[in-house]
Amino acid sequence: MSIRGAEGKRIAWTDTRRESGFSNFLFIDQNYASHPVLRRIFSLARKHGFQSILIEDIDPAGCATVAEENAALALRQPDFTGSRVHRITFFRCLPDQNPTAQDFIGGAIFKSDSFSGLAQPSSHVYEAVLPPPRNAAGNNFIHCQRGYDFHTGVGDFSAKGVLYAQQNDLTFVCAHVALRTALAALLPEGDISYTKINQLAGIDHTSVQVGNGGRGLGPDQMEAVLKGVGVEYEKTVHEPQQQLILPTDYQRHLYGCVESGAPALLGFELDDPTAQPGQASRHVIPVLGHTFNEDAWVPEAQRSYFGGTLSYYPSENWLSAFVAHDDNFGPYFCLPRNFLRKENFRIILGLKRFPTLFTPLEAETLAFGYAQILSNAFQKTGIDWLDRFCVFARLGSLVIRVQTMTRPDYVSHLDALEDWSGLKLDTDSKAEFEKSLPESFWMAELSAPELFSATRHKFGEFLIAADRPFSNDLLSLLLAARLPGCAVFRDGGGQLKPQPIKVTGHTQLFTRPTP
Amino acid sequence: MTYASQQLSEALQELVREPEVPQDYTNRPLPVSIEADENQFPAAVADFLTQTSLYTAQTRSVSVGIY
Repeated sequence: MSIRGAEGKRIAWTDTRRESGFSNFLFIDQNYASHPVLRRIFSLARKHGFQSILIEDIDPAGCATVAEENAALALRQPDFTGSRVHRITFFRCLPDQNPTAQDFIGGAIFKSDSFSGLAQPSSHVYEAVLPPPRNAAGNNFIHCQRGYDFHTGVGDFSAKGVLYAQQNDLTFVCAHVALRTALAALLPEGDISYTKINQLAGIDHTSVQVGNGGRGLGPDQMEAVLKGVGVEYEKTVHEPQQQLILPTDYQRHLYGCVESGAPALLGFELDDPTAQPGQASRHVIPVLGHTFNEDAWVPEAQRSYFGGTLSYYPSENWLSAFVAHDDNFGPYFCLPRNFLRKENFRIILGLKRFPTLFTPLEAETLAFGYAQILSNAFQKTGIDWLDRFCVFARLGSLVIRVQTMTRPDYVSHLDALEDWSGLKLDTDSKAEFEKSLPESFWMAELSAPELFSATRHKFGEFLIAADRPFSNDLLSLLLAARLPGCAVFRDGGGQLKPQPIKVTGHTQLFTRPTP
Repeated sequence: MTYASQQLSEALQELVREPEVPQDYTNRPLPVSIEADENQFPAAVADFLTQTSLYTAQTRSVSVGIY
């Protein structure tokens, strides 16, 4: 049983309003040893308008998860004497009112472990689930959120967000908590235990240990965990000491992973002037989403002043920051684009909802090639937006946004599609798309800078096979395309055949549904 | 205005100056089929994909560092 779902014994239900005199800082100083991550979590609850906190004590003997964690601790550290676990839940209502589902914000589990050799307990936020402080309306896009159930003494509730967890530096470290956050977002059961992660990584806490005095997890162990639970991933490596120099910008890879709706693990080397080359400490964090700046200077400036050779605008150019949890600091921090330098970047393990045989960046490059072919095929058709697409493609001014797509999500997108004049796709064309497409594929959306950033609209999209390797015939990977006034399908002989469609204007970009 | 922006503006202006093609939904001059030839598919695309595929294969079994 998870700690979120365990029975608890009420300690207090406290008014947290400003007029009550409640102070987050004072409360955490007095009750939780001035814990910095808890300050971050309480500050997020303040942003969400909390009016009260319910504190409940969880009896380790009554909760299988705590019992399992404590058994591991006893193995790892023989002077472990026991733990205290508090469940802290945040409400928008006052104490002793009957909370509704809308009153519930989320919660955190705070665990303090005691050791006979230590004067003070060692504490960490075992887990926390709160909604992100900003959503799509605030240009924050976190596609891997899901609902997490809480059982409290005042009712059962659900919080939507991305699970945060902090290492205890004895039985689980940063790699464990990053894996847990990422897998909790994808696995049907919505979580994975540290016992399971350690089992898959070969950590037994006696002969092979992690944490203080032990070590962390290597990429091979993290990969073993992902493989062990059957989750697909994309690996991007930059190891200058091994003469493995990533030929591309790691941020394009990272963005490509999170834009497809799955989290990615981002590993980097710390700045340490005293360390031998290649021996500096490393850290890994889960990246969950990104922010979007519709007035970004980067796309034009990159091309005109600094890049020069770009022949399209990657949609990643409009990204301001990645959104990530860092177990050292707390949930939902913004990592500005270009802050983490390539010199420090080491690895991305980008989780995937289904297998793909090439990367998002490669799919984007293919889409650029297809845009050249199709723009040469359609010469001045008289369909205004198709002709504009061709001009933007030929002059290297398309915006290309790539993500993985399932057929049901794409068909739902076609159902909702409406161009600037209000025209919708006809039933026969929708059926033809549905018939032409496999269960999953890459979708490359094609837009112009002003369309993409202002109305979030596009010319159309290319649908590209994700399950076939590259061959000499790269065009064979193009499954179908939709452009203004024209759809392109493959006939029985595999030829790409254009046919007219009624939607002749620009249409809205795909918005990924959140579970 | 940069050279690239100017080129784009000129190409879009050219579309405006073209004689109007009838926008009859049932009678559009779409090509019969689309085929790639050597001149159309940019060589840079294939080169880039070759480079990235090789790097991916080279790093597939690499495991360096502790996190």
